[in-house]
Amino acid sequence: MPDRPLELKRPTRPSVAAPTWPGLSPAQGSLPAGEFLASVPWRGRVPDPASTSAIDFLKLL
Amino acid sequence: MIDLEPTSAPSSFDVRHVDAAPDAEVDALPFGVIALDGSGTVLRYNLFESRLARLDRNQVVGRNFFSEIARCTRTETFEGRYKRMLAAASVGASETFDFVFGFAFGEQHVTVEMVLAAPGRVYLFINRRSVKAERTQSPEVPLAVEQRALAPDEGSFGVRRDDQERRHVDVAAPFFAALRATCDRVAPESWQLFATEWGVQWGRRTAIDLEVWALERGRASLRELPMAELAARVEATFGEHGWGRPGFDFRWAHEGLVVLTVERSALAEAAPRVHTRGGDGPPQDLACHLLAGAFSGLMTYVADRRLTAREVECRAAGAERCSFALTAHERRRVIDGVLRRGERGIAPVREALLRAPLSGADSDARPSA
Repeated sequence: MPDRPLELKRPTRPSVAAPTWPGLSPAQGSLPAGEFLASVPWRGRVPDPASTSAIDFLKLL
Repeated sequence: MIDLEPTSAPSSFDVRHVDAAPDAEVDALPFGVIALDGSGTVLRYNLFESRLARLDRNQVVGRNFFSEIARCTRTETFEGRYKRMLAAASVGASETFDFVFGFAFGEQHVTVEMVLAAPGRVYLFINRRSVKAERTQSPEVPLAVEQRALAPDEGSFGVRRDDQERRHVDVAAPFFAALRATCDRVAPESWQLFATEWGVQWGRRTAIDLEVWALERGRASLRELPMAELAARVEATFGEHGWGRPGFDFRWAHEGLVVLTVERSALAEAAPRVHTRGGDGPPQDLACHLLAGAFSGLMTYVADRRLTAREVECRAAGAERCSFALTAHERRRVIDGVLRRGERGIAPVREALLRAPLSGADSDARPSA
């Protein structure tokens, strides 16, 4: 018997734009922890959790 | 560490899979599943259906669905279809139709897919379209049975129910200390494994509860609620049940990390004070593996893919609050490495995640050297 599609209540919405990963330079790898964290350019941005669906928001992870 | 099984509902569905699946798996489905035999006796009744009908399945399984449980289904549309399917259809035949379930607490507009899974075995897959607190049907339409009618004297047997007819047991916090002490005695070194998986199972069921909560309030499905609103509901749910005060911190979400905190965790305050850190064994100073598993199970359901929460600092070890790092499941080993080195807190986890090599799926996004 073929697989029977079962329509779910609500399909997921298209995802938010995928953030880019900045990469790590050798100089950054040698920095002390506090300076390192401050030196990495943030990838993408945090969408507003008040207006972004949970399933879309968690695509950041 | 335990690998979490996927919990998302399948996009395509084979009723034979459901028929062979254990109840625990069927309970993770976000729609109602009822199995009937050829006489209308309920054989299976999953958690989602039980919650929305506010019926304890222990009193439902074994009773006749049409005459004892859902008398509103004694219609040509519903029971008539069932009888015709049993008499003439071939295995695998299905019919889909809309229906209105009438309850004492309101009515629910549903879409039912009725499937003949085997000779004399019919499955009902029930998808709620809307849940209303008031009834619009004629008063002459019979209602589905109430829990108190199925078990009228259960209060005298020590059965306690909440306002949603869920059975609950009140236990004092030392119950968990005793459980931990027993596990340490009977199966040393296994507490983290056991408690984490227990938490995952609990988290999956909590997701179903929250899905029902959203439906009953006419809200979007749990996954489509705004993240902030979902977080507030999770915080309220765990807080109202005495686990402590959870909170979500989204500041580092763009780094692939969401932090959950729990103030005054009941598990941390019931745990023995042990400060062993590092080494090859599981960390002994982190006590809230049950909550970590629950957050993993719950947020995996919401995300519709595997996420893992790991406790990274604990009140049991003297921290001000318990903190959990929620990341993609593939990145859990980065956090495990931090914990094995004896490091605690969000800062070392953040740094390790930022330094960690990416998975193959993300590497295309890395700028060229």
